[in-house]
Amino acid sequence: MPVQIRYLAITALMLGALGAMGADYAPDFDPDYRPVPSSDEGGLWYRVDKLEADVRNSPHRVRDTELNDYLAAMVCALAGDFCSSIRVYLIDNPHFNASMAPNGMMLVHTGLLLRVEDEAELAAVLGHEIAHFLRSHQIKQWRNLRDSAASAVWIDVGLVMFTGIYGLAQMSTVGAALSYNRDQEREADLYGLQLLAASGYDPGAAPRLWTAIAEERALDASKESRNPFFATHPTAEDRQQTLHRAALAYGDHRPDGAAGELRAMLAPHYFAFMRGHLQLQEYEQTEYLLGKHRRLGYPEGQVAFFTGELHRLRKAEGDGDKAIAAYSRALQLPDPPPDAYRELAYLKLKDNAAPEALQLFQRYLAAHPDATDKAMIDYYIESLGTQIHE
Amino acid sequence: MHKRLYTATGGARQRPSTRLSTLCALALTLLIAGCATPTHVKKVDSLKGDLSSARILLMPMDVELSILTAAGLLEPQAEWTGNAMGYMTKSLEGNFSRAGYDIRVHDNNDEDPASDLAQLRKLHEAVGLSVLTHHIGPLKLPTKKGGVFDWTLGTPAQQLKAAGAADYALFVFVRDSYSSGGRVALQIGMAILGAHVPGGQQLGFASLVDLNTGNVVWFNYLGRGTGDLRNQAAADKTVAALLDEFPGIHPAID
Repeated sequence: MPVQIRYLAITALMLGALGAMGADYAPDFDPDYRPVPSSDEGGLWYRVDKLEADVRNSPHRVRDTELNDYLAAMVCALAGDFCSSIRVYLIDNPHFNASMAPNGMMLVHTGLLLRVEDEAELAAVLGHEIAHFLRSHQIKQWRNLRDSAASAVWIDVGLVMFTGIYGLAQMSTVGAALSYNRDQEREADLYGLQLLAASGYDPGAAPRLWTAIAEERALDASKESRNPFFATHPTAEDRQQTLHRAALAYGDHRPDGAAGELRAMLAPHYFAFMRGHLQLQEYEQTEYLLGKHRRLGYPEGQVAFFTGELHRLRKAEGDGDKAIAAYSRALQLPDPPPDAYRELAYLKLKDNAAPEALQLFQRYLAAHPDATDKAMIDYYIESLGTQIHE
Repeated sequence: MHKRLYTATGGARQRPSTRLSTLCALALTLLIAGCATPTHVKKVDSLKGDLSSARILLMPMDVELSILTAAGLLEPQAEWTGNAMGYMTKSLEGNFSRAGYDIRVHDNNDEDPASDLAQLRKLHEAVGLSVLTHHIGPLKLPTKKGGVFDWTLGTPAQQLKAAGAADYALFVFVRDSYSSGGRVALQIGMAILGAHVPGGQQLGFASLVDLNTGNVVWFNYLGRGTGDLRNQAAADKTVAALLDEFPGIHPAID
C-alpha cells in the first residue's frame, strides 16, 4: 500500500517538525473534571467506571504497596495538577503495555516494568498515557467514529440506489478511524515527551525505549506481519524516529535516569514477573530481555535461572546442554532460586546421572522445605537412594 | 460502544475481551429471534415447595441503556441507566412484596478479590450469559443433552445466604437501546427502498438462585424490539415481562 505508507511518512514528518518547533500541548479540561451524566462523554465514563470497579477487585492486580506507591508518585510528578484525577493499577500481565481510560484509570502491565532500563523510560510511557487522558482522546475518537459512520450510512443509502451494494462507504470508515487513532498516538507521544521534559527526565529516554522495543520485536519468531492500514499504532521504528527528532528540540541534557532506584524497587518482584513472561513462549524476546537484565544488574542467580528455563522450555538443538550450564551457573551465584536445584535434578535424571540428581533433589528440599511438590520429590529421593545402593 | 482502552504500545497479541464478544454473539443470536416476534419471553422453572415468605436478595443489577446511532453503534447513557435502575428496583420490590415475599436489596461493595461474594456476582453473570447462549440460544452444548436445565453456581452460594440472610438471590441483567433520530430516519429511508433496518432492542434476563444449593431454579429472558426503561410506568411493564410467570406474581403484561 504505497499511498498509505507515503501518507504515514508525511504525517510523521509533519509531526516531527511540530515537535522540533517545541509544540506546546495543554490539557483539554480542568483538574477534577467530570462530564455531566446525560452527555455522550458521561455515558463513556459510566462504562469505564464499571470496568474500573472490576479492575479494583481483580485477582490480576499486583497489590504490593511499595510498588503501587512508587508508580502513583511518578504519575503525580508527570501529571502535576491532574495528579488526583488519575488512578494507577499495576496488572500482572507479561505483555509490554500500559493503557489509559477516559475516567482517569491507568493500567500498567508488569511486562512494561520488565522492559524499561530506568525510571526515565518508564516515565516516557506513563507520560504518553497521561497525554491521552489530558487530550480527551477517547471521547474524541468515539465522536469521530460515530459521526463519520453516520455520514457514511447516508452515503451508502445513496450508493445502494445506483450500485445495489450497501455498505461501501461504511467499510472505508474503518480505515479512517484507525488512521485517526494513529494520529492520536503520535500526539500522545509528543505531549508525553513534553511532560517528560517538564518533570526533569531525559527526553532522550523515549526514543531509547522505542529503539529497544523495535529491536526486541524484530526478533519475534512468529513473524506476525503488520498491515500499516489496519494498525492502531504507528510502528516502533516510526515512533522512535519521531521521538528522536522531537527529543533533540529539548536540548542535549542527560540527567541520571534513576536506574538504580527502579531496579531496587523491582528486584523483589523480578522472579514472579519473569515467571509470567516465560509463559508467553516468546523465547527470542526472552533471550533479548535476559541480556538486558544481566546488564542492568538484576539478581544474577535469578537471571541465570531464567536463562536455564528459556533453554529447557525451548527444546531447540543444543538447548538441553545450555539449560544444564545455565542452572549450574545459577547455583554458583548468590541466592539462586530453589527451583534451579529441582530443574537441574530432573535434567541430570534424564542424563542417567543418578547420584547427582539425588543430591540436587535433597538440596532442593533443604532450600525449600514447604515445596508443594514435596511428595513427588520425596518419592524420587527414595527411589534414587534404593537404585544407587543396589 | 467499544471498550478498547488507550494503550501505549499497540501490543500485537492482546487477549480480546471474552465478555464483550459473548455479549455480541448473544445479541446476535437472540435478536434474530427478536426481529421475527416483537416480544420474546421464555421461562425455565424448577421452583418447588412452599415459597410463601421466602427471603429474596436482590443483587446489584447490571443494566445499561444506550442510544443506537444511525450507523448502528451503541452509545451508553449514564443518566438513563441510573434512573432505570432506580425504577426497576422500585418495581421489583413492589412486585415481590405484594406477592408476600420478603425482598431486600443487597448492598455490598466487596473489593477483596478473594471474597466469595465478589466472585459469585461474576460467576452468576457468566452462568446467566451461558444459559442464554447455550440453553435458550441455538448454540447447544453436546454435554447438555435433552434440554436438561441444571445450571448452578455451586455451594459457595451458601456464603451469600449467610451474608444476606436470604433463601434466594435474584440477579437481573438488561441491555436496552433506543434509536437515535438518525437511526429512525435511516429506518424510514431504507424501508422506502424495501430493506429492514433494526431499531433499538431490549435484551435481558432475570434468574433466581437457590442459596442452599447454588442452583438456578428460575430463569426468564427478554429479547424484543419494544420496551422502555426511561420512566416508572414503562419500567413497571418491562419488569413485569421479566418476572412473567414467577410463582405468586401476577403482573399485567402489555
